[in-house]
Amino acid sequence: MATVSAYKCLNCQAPLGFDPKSGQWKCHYCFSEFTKQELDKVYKEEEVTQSTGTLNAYHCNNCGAEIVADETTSATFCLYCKSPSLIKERFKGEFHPKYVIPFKITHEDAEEIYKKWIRKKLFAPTQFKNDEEIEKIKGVYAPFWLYDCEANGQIQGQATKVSSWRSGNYRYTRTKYYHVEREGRVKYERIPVDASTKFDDKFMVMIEPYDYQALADFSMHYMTGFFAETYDVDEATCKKTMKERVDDFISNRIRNTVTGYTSFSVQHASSNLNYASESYALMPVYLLVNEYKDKKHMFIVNGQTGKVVGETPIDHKRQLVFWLIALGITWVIIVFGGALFG
Amino acid sequence: MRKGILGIVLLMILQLHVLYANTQNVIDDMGYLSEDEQASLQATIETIQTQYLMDAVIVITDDTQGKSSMEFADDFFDYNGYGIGEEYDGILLLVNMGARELWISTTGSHTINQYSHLTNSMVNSVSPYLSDGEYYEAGMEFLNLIIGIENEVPTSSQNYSSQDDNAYDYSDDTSSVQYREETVSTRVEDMVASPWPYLGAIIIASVITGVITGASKGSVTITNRTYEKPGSFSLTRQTDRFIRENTTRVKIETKSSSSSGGGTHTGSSGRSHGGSGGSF
Repeated sequence: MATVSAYKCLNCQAPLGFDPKSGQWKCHYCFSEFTKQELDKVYKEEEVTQSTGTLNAYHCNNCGAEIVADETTSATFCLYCKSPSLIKERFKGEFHPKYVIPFKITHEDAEEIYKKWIRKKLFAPTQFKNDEEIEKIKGVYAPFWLYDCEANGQIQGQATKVSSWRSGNYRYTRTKYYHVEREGRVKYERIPVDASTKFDDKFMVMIEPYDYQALADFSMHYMTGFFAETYDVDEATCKKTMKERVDDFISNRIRNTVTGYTSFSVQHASSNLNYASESYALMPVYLLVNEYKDKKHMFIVNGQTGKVVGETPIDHKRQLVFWLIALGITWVIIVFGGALFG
Repeated sequence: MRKGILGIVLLMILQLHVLYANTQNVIDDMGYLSEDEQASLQATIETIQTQYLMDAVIVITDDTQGKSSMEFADDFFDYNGYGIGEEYDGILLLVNMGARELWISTTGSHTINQYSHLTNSMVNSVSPYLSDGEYYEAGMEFLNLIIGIENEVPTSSQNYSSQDDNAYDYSDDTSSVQYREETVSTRVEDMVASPWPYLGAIIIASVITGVITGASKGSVTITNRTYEKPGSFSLTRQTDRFIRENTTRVKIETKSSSSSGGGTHTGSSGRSHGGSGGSF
């Protein structure tokens, strides 16, 4: 049987959960709080037993019920007793994260953020605004590859300087054309790339940036009380994505050094990586996935900064009603406004 | 009975004669118009006189006696007994063949006001005919424009709203307050009947709905420097090579408008005139 772990309260043995506000571990039964050092003394990570269990056959070590988990889920909750459960071997070996950024935003904060956000979405279906729906928000540690690298970039293009003056009855316009080349070098630190297919890459870029000041060495303790995913996009694939981002960063960076011209158009841009090193990290997000007419819609909050991204489906009935009301009001304003002030 | 009718007709003719001191309204010094054409223009002018209580004159000449087109047109109208009513309302088209200019002069406060924004476009409508040597057609165009404008006065109040105080010298006894109330309600009716408010509302409502529908899902807030190691950026090469230059010159157009006028001025007789002119 594969090992599933949960940290238990040192006082009452109830499951512990990480509390983003205090940065400590809290027992929801006896309200004891423990620091990382206190837990480390008891639960030494190296003591995690090696096991070779079959995927999807884990058992809750609190109540013994089977833990149902996707192949990439590494931290979850027991469906029956709601105890936090960690699948330890999914944090090991190649899946052992180097860093983690702990949650800073609480579940309640995330719900508030969602409520505010969905209120502004006039055409979102009503069911998206229900409390039941809001409660589905999950705190998830999302897998990222973080890249340190150095890149060289080159751009070439044509620039112009335009001057204009008047002489007699004529206006003169002189355009001077220049061939401009720039090459530059820059180092980047911890460019994040979404390493899970469960999250929308586009949205994961939008919730950036994370504040790396809070980046900590990985510890399983942080996982308790949250869901966690392991990567399912390998480092080599993510590196390509990272390279595309670097191309973009460096060519814009170099382009900004072309100054003093009226116009500048880039004709050629290229970049190459001198070196790149990666580390595996888990970053906090709150996630709500809604299904509407067989299509999934994602709402994501950065679990550290609270930045929101997401999309909602459009309820066409609501949209039509709004359009008709807007039409009526606009028509009245045009007719009476036109008649009174036209 | 017959005598009575005859008497009334005679009286009317007499009255008309008092009103229309000059019955020769088409003066063609150049001989461009045939007798039939002159008669046809004169007949149209008489219709204008009786229906709209304003005079209309067409003068074609190449001798403006050393005066500008405007001065000659104003004086010709004033000193030849044209104009109807106390203020000598009327309009005159001068075709000055000497300078190849035309001038439309208006007299009488009602006519001046009513035509103040229209003489320019009348000049523009008439001048193409003159350029083509079609003098009769030019005259007819001039008169038809007057008829068109006069016929529009009662319904299309917005075009003439600023001059409306005098417009009611001609209508029986509509008080101006009553008239304004009617204007708002008729405007509302006009707007309701017009397709434009519907079209405008459809466009605006659709744009608002579209904007709300497409409301931002979120945006990228990182920049190309977010992940840059501070101080690590350096330019390793920098080339700016001049290739060529070119200079263009454009003549600055000094304003030489072909039509002018529009304001009110006082002629040598002391009467006020409005008008516009142009070349052809």
